[in-house]
Amino acid sequence: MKKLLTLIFLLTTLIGLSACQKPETYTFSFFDYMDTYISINVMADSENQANEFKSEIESIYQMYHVLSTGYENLPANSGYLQNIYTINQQNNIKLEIDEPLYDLIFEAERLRELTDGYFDISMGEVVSIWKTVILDEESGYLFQEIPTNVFESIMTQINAIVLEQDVIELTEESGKFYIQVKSTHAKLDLGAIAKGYATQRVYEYLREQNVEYFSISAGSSSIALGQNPNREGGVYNVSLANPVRTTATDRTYGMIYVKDISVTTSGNYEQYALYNSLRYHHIISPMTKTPAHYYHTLTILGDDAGVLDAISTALFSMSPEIMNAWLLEHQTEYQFEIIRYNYDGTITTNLTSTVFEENEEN
Amino acid sequence: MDAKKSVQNKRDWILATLLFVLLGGLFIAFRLFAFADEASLAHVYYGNSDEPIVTIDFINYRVISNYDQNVPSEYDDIYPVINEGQQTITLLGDYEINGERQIVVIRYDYGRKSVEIIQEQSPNNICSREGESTGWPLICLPNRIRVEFETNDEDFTV
Repeated sequence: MKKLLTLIFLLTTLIGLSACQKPETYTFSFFDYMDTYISINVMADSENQANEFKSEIESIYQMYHVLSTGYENLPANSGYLQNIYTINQQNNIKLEIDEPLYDLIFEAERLRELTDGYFDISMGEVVSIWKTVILDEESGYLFQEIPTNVFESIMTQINAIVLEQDVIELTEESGKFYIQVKSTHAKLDLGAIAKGYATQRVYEYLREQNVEYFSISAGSSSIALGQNPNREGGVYNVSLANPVRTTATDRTYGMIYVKDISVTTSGNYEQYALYNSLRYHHIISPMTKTPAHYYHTLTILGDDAGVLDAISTALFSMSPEIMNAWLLEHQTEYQFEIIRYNYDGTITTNLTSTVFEENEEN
Repeated sequence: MDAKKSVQNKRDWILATLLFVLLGGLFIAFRLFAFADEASLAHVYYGNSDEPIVTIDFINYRVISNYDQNVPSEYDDIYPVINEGQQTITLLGDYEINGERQIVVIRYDYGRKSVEIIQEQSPNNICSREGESTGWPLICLPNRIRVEFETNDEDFTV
């Protein structure tokens, strides 16, 4: 009898334990937002909870996609007041906008001041010309040499554009939010901040849900990380893309080991055209209205993916001397860590706690 | 004599059962743990070649077509056919129905870092019945197409 009772107890315990639901990692991906492949890994207690996460995360990316695009009008019945496309059609008119877009542009303007104007969302006209030269399916020169006459024509167009200062006026009145672009020709472009900004909102959402184990990969240039359930210490191994790869075996040049952090890389290697052997890419310096040639990639680590997106863009156009002076002033406050793959092939690091290992063959 | 035979039979059954359980356990453990690390690349091969015809890069979210499949001139299409929207790769297998070689359709998933054979013709459909793989190789015979995974020590590239 005693044996029978023990057996029943053991069986009941076993069945009870097997009924407990163990947290699992769920993966979901989005292809339709911000021209990028977004992949999320998140640990959830149940499939229902994972689906809730997915739904909320998708709605965040969807909203910022619709609000920040400069290429598409607002969809019918979107419920939004304006997006960047419609704002760009209505310069010098005071427009009411939704609070999330106001906050995003407000943050972009704060970062313009922080970077002494090296990050500027109001130079869309110039960015658009360079993107066409590089990426246009019919007239672009992706990975090819730009003919001299074409290059000279581009520079004539670029030089004719006068970039005005402080063209964006943001106001808040009685709980309503307004923007006025005070220029006849300036165009806004949120391409260098919207993806990171939306990723940071997703990061904050997961933190609010007390999710500890997750990763958010927004394209190949921006990731926001919690902890890794598959490695000791929760660490993620993040390799750094080699911007001058020549074979299938030198895809990366080094590795960093990180958790609970965001990492963003700006680089000249995914989309560029050549002129006089220099890469002309999509990161345009507001100071020269042309792409800078100081670095091939610049990787920045910090706690806010939106800030990193904008700051990496700004730093990419700074000379090493200007960047070092800027870092001296701001690195401690923002706890940025930086790895530069310089144009001459050397690597410079400004790291405080992150471990960086350069590949042996480099 | 009969009693002795009966005991021997019983022992044989116990031994067979033990062996069955042991081998079954080993197989399950192999499937669960042998490919536990996430793959960073999956290579698709055709025939005896050691050069992958297509490489799926799970880290950088791209599919690289390394070279065209060598197929007889009576087949109009150029293989591999890569459909990034559907996330599929189509190759021409060796298995013939009414003298015509049949296609093999491979579906990949960047987020799950997985590959699955979703369409193929063969006598037993073994490779499509394998389901979604995140590490163990998928071998399609007699189509002579195989998928092998490569695991690097990295989770992301930026």
